[in-house]
Amino acid sequence: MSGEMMTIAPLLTVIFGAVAVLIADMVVPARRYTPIAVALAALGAAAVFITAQGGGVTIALAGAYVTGPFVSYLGLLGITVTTITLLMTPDHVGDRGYPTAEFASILLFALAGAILVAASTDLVTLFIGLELLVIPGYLLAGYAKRDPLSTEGAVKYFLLGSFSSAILLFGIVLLWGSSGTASLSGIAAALASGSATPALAVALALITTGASFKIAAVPFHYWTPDAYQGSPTPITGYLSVGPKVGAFALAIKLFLVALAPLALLWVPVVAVLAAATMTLGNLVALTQLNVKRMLAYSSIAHTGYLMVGLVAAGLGEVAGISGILFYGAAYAFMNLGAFAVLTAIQGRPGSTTQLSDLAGLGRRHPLLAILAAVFLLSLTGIPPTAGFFAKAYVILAAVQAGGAAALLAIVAVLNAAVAACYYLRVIIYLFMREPAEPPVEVATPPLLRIGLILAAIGTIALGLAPTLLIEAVARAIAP
Amino acid sequence: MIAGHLEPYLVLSSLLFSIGAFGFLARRNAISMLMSIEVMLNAVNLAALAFGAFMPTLAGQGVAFALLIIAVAAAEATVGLAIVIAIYRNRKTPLVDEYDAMRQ
Amino acid sequence: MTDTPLSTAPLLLILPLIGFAFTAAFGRRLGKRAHIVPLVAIAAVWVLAMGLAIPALLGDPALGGEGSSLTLFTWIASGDLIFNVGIHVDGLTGALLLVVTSVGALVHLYSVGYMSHDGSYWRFFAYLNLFMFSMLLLVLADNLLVVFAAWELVGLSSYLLIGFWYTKREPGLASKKAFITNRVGDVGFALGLMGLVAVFGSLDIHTILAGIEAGALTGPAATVIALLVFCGAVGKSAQFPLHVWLPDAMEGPTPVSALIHAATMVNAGVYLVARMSPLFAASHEAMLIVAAIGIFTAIFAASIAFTQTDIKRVLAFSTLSQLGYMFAALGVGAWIPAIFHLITHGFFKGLLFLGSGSVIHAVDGEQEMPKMGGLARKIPITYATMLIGTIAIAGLPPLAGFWSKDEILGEAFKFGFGWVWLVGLLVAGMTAFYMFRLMGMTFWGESRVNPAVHVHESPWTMTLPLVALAVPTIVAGFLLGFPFADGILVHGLKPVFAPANELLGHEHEAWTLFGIDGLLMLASVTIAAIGTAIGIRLFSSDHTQLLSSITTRLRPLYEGSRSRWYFDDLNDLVFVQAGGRVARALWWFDRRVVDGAVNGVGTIASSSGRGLRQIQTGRVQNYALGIAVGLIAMVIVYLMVAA
Repeated sequence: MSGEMMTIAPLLTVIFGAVAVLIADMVVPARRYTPIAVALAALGAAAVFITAQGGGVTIALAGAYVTGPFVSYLGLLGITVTTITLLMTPDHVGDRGYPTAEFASILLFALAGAILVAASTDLVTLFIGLELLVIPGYLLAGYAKRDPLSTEGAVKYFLLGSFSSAILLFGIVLLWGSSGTASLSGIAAALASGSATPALAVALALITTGASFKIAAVPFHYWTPDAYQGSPTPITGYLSVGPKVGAFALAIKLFLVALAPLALLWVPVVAVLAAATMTLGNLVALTQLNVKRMLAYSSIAHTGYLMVGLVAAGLGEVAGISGILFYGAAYAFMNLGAFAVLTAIQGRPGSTTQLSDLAGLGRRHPLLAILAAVFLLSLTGIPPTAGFFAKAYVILAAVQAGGAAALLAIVAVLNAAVAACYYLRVIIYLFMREPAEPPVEVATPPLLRIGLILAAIGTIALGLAPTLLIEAVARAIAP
Repeated sequence: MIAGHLEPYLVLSSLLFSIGAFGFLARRNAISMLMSIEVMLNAVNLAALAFGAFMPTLAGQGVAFALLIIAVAAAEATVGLAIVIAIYRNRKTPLVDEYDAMRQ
Repeated sequence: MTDTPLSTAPLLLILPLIGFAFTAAFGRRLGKRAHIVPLVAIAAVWVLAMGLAIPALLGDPALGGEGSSLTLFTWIASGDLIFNVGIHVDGLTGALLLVVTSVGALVHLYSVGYMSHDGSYWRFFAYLNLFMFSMLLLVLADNLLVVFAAWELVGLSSYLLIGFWYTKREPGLASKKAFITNRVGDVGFALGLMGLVAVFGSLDIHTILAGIEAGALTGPAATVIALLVFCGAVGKSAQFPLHVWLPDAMEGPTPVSALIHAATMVNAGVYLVARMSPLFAASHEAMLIVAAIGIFTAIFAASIAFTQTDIKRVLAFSTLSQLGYMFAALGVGAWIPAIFHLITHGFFKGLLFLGSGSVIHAVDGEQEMPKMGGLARKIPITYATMLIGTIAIAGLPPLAGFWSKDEILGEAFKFGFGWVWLVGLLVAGMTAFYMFRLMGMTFWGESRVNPAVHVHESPWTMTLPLVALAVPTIVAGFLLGFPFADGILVHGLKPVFAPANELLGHEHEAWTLFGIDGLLMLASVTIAAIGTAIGIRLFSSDHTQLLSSITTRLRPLYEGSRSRWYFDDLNDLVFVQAGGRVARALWWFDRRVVDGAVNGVGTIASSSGRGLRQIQTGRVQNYALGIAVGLIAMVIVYLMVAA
């Protein structure tokens, strides 16, 4: 295989995998697990290719696609997220009469988009990658097409998402035109030597708005609760993790590479957004009685914590970037895990995810309840779980960066304390309430079980031995 | 190179973009909103082509960028129409302000 | 520094963790044998811990003095932010290991009997081992980030254990309150840690302490950071105003109360302040606040203990009060007496709690003292050991409490904190009073027990720990604290606190029996004896028989201070009428105002959340408008900033 082919091999594998899933479904139609098996095989092959690259820096597509440790890290993280999602979903959507092949294929396309975002070095590739990442998301949100809530969430997500994509795109074109190059590092060089023109300020505003929408930052978060609540539960888990981590990769590329010379302009704005995001997400989550919607608001709060890392990195503290990368992985495991638990309690089509549905789960399904508690404690930030080190990482980076970031760190600590209340309430329902009558139907098919276990292993392993990943993170951001 | 200046094209592009955005905010019909987004994307295309034509370092890139944006817009419209049709089947109305089963 | 003496130290963490993992995985299947692995693990931990603690306290060259460190792993968070995660053992660690592992091992043994009827036997032991792991991590860690992690982890395990009987409503509420109140303190702690990172660029304890000694942190910054760290201690050690969770935490099983809420976890705050002593010594104001909060909690809690009728709640308030003592000691710079009291209190309060558990076990789950009485002869081992514990906590010589309490009061006086000394003296008297009240209502007089209940002594697994704890309760004070101001503990801990004492300018003076020290000692013994006498007088109806041993020893004081008509009336007026009213008022203040404020924070948060959720209208147009307005605002901001 030529060097260039080897460089883009993971991307191609994922795209071919997406097509192969559909072909397999044509050859042996209407099997629930065949498409999943094909998709998992493609993911395995992609992971092998990424590992074989060994994190070396290689260039393809005329310099538009450059691999390296950063791409390897995000690629493997994306593969992990996709794998767990593939394991969680087929039985849930299959039992409700929806096919699994299209789902698996769409998911792989989204992964291809995420890899493209991570590997892109110019604005055009970056935007194409982003769209490839988010358009499948609209389809997934409306995957339960006979369910009014799912389609309602999808319409809202799609309309607002396209609106914000257009805004982001206008900003990107303005930035491209006014700096005279599409290359991210070229833009940084041009900005460093030039002065801040009004066109640039407008471009910055458009880009900040568009990117804030994609990561679900306040006040551009409105789509999140509705899209998350409406989607089939395992898909909500994916939507709250995959597109978000991908969008943070985009934010790193845009803000920390291309717009780094303008950090003095955007850091205060992003810092204010981060504070608002954490606070609104947590306060509204306190009032939610639907666990799925509560987790939607909590995912907004987690966006805020991730933005703390962005602010720290904007002020020149590299630990901010490694914090984002570590947080991304920790968040992926714990949030997917939490949604896997919700998937399990929705064994019967049509069942809800109210807090009361979780009552007494500890008595009837102790293992599931213990796993749920692990994920929730990690989301709260209690050691020895991944969530603790994730929070510690971004907060310490912010303190180290000093100035506005240190103030933001204080806001983050206060927010973490508030967040404990609503996560804890779920644990109380799990273990300290009488089971609902009639009890909810719990279904843990084998694939979901494997997904749950993977998520739990990740959550606990990163908490007990954070150095495992910290070294990978350090390599990923090494210059 | 073509005659004239870059600025008028950018002003026109901004106007088109604003019209599209206004349309998105003002219309209640999902299909109309989708069309408004198309207007916004085409405004961006105009800006991309103008930059490509007037900035020497971007010569040729503008066309490529615009073509890619058209492709993305087509993909987006396809997905969007599929979703709108799906909800129309459930709700029997294309008016988005009646889709408010989920709130707060 | 050499690593060899600490080669066994990681086992202190690994063994309980294995016990936890094993029991969590297989405990259910083991049924009534589930305790074996956790018990063996903790017994081994005790042996290993003694192997470290005793040399450390005796000033072994390898472990005493500066102590010894062992790096486990390094986390390079960024170029200049490096965390060395490791273990550090010195005299202070040794002191904590002594209490934590001894009481921990005995509580494990005790639980074998106490929890034998419980369906979730295995779960209890799994939690206990998790707690031991967390607590040992807390005292062994040499990095504040790890301390903070362990800090959260002890909170979590205590949350699990308080809510152990989760099918009942109260334990669930109590565990929630404990967790949330602790979170409030932890916010302060976390902010303090952030301050330390900002100043020193590290959370390594030695780096920070060395920096403070070099004068890198002074003035208001030192005060603010010290007080933030102290917030964490206030939460975990249940000091006013974050004490509200501890009395409620008594809803947990009694072995938990003994282990976590008397002997170990609540001491974490005292340990933290002691460990960071130079940080506090660098700020006069911070020290003053620590002392004030400590001594206020001491008298506040003691006065509430007067009117409580639930045997465990009396002990809970007593724990608050004694912890207040320790903080008062830390605040005046009496570091070594504070740790001394931590040790002795750990033993005698652990004993008293386990004893109360044995009483509750004997009377079939009853916790109200008015429904006890006359139990002394029916459960003699429990009675005898609890009496020893009571004499110790009352501060009567020669039992353990006397030595440590006396040192606290003595140093407070000598360092010029007359008010701390005076209040402390009063509290000593009050302590003796309410503890003998507890003894009287429980063991003496006529039995008020429900006749249907068959009162029985507990099995050996429960009485053996009582007897085993009675031994240090009797001798620990003498062993560690004699000769006065020159005992083992002073030698073991002096190097640890030398930097803080240097900052404070405290000189260690020789102890004089026929000087001020002797007088102070006489004062504290006298007041303790008075409290004891009043307690016995009021709460034993036939004291001549049952109390012969005590009253004979105290007869001269007892008779001399007592003038029958005068004392009866005064007692009634001061302690029963007025005292009762004040205590009730304080109780009300505690429930309504302090507790209400803690709950109020939550109410404000959720009502603002309800307000904020209104913006989620469900309509796409409103959302799009929100995005557009946000975009326009951002354009304006950027244009203004750029210009």
